[in-house]
Amino acid sequence: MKRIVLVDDMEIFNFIMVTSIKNVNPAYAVHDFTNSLQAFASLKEIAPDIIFLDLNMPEMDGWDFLEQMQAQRLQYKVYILTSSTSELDRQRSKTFANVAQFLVKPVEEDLLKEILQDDAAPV
Amino acid sequence: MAAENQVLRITYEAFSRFSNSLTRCLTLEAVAACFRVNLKYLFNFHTFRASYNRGDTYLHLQITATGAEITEQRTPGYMAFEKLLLERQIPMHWSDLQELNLPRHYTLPPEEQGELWGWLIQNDAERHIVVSVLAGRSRIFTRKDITFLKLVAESLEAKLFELCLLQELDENNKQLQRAFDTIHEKNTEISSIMAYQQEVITDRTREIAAKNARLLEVSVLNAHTVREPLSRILGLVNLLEMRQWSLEEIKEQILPRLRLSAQDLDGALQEVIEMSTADLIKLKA
Repeated sequence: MKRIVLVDDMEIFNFIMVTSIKNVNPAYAVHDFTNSLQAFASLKEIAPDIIFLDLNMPEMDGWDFLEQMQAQRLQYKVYILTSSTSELDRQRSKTFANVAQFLVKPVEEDLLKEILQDDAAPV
Repeated sequence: MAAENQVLRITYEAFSRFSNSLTRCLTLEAVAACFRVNLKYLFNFHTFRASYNRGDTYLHLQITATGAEITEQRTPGYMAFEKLLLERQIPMHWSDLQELNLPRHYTLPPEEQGELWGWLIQNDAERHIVVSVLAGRSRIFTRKDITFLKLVAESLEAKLFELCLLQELDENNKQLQRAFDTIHEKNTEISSIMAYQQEVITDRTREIAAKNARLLEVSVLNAHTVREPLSRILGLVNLLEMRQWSLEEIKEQILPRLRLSAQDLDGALQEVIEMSTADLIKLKA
């Protein structure tokens, strides 16, 4: 089954995502982190199919996270999940090859289903 | 006859000198001086007087054995007999001087048998000059002298006309210069006002641009601050619609998170309002 990592410093968002994902398929393995450093440290071990990544976080923000992945040649597929509607952020996210999409919170159920079902393979 | 020709020839020479001298005159005083020196060689007189008018300028030239005087005034100042000459426009001759009410310096001893000649010499329709000669037994003026008198009068009129025109030109030039000075002064004033305005406008524009940038920044920041808890609330509401929830589940899992998010939203909004109010106060100051 698919392995999914959630990185958001706000527990409520992770709760929303976990609940939504389980609703789509209860069998998916979801690992949620409110601490981005811990999430990054666990990446290799989990080897996720999909990462949902928040941008605005303390210590290591979403951009740092992406750059670290780039530095360590980690190719996991990333969906940016942010409450920011900033066009600048959207443009910047395109500079990372492993970023599949820029999503604005909250993600509608249909869109989430689409992402989880169609996009199974790693980038 | 030969003697008369001789006299004429001398007179012409005298007139030629007078004429040359008059031509060179550039002021009224010079004209008076020219007459004082030259007139006595052209004909005899006790008093020669010429009155000229142009616009509101009245000139009176008076030559006697003792001197020459020219006055310039803004009021006519005609003598009674001059008014008659102007009125009738014909040459006149008086031998009874009592009735003319002449000024004191016109008075001659009885044995002199004074007589007064007067003319209105017309140079053209608009230009004329009143001339008069007071003569007597020791200073005999005859009809033969009239030819030269008229030549003198015409020359004098032409010269006074010229000097008046020069004076008017001079006055006009002065007025123009004054107008020019005023315009120049105003221009300088306007230029300095405009430069100042430009400076003010530049300053204000810079100020406004800075304020705009700050406001834009604040509004973007505000939107993000507000949107974060709001997107949580929307996400939680979506969850409620996603599937059936038991009352227990809702109470335990959804409501506390909804409350927290709503409180965060309220906090964010209060912060935004506070910041915006502070900015508004700063902008108005």
